[in-house]
Amino acid sequence: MRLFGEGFRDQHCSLATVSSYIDGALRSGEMQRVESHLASCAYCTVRVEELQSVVGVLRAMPTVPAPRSFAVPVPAPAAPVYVREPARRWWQPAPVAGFRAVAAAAALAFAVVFAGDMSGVIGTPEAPVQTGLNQPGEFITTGNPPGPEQPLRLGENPLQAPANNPVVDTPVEDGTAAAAATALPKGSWLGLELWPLEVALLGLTAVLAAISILVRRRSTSA
Amino acid sequence: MDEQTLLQASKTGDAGAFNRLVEHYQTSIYNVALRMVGDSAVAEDITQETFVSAFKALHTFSAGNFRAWLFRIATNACRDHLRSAQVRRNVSLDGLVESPTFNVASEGESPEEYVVRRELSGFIQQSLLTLPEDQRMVLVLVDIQAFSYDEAAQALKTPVGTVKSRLSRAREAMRAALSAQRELLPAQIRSG
Repeated sequence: MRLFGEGFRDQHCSLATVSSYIDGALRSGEMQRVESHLASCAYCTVRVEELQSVVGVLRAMPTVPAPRSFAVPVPAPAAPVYVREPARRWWQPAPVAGFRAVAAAAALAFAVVFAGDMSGVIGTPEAPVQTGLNQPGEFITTGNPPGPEQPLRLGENPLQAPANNPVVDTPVEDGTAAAAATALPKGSWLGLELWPLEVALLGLTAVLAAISILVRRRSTSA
Repeated sequence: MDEQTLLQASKTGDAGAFNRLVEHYQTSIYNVALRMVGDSAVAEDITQETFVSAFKALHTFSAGNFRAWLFRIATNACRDHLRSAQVRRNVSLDGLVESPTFNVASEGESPEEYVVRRELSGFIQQSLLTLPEDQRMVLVLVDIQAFSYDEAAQALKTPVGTVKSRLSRAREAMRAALSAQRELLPAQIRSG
């Protein structure tokens, strides 16, 4: 038997057929034809054996270990990006801090005014105002003159003069100067109603707080 | 973790998962590159380039045989290198035989057998480098890396019939080359 001989003959199996045959890659019908041919052809049998030897030598080639790791570099986690804010003058308040400070001040003012209003510290006390004395023990009063106490009817404001009993401002003709005063309704201060101030302070607080939240969110998302 | 899970994680940019795949395939890729170019340093470069390119292009791999896809990148890198640097002309047989790449002794091997095997490996490598690139590529994939015809066709992006014909011609060329160096062949083949 000759190994690695030269030349093929046309009447024998083609090179591609022999190569596929040793890999078992022929279709079943073709495989049977080749096998029957090999049974009677020594020349093609030698070719098959030779190519099988070549394949055997190649498959016996040692696998060379990888000389090192070929791992791709793992990217480091992205560092947080700090954006430097533009320089701010000393008179320029920080936007968020400024809004917060003003909102806090408005809230504090609202709390003071509201608490004072509720407790009567700010505004007209409920008792009749002693505005000036003509004689010791003499009061300037509004409404009914001194006399027997009238019963208070349901829903009636004791500080408000009844319709059938108009307010009588009693001028002091000869007492301290024009100390005639009128009794102010509860919830007023220096003649001004307090509720618009309270509403304004509350609204200002809400608006400034909302603005500071929006500015903060925008600055963090940017 | 199986290959599909690692692939899905790798597609999301998980380099750690991809490196698990690298560990699995790096020896095969390196050996293909080594057989194709015959130079260990160049083979290292090609192997690294293959994995970096694969990681970058992983989003383009939708489904199918990942090994074939990866080896296509490797074979393309080999082709690019061979065409640009023309390494084949610069490789000498002496350099290959003396290269530590082939000094891998098997267990239970006598010194004489080791020497013969080393010379045979060097000779086979040199013979591989004389083959046309296309034939060499098919021979390395099918006969050394044990790819099926279909896998080799996918990796080389060629029809299966082309793979068969290239393989048969490459085997015949190797047969002719080895017939001239029968003294290097193992005894059981030589006496057969």
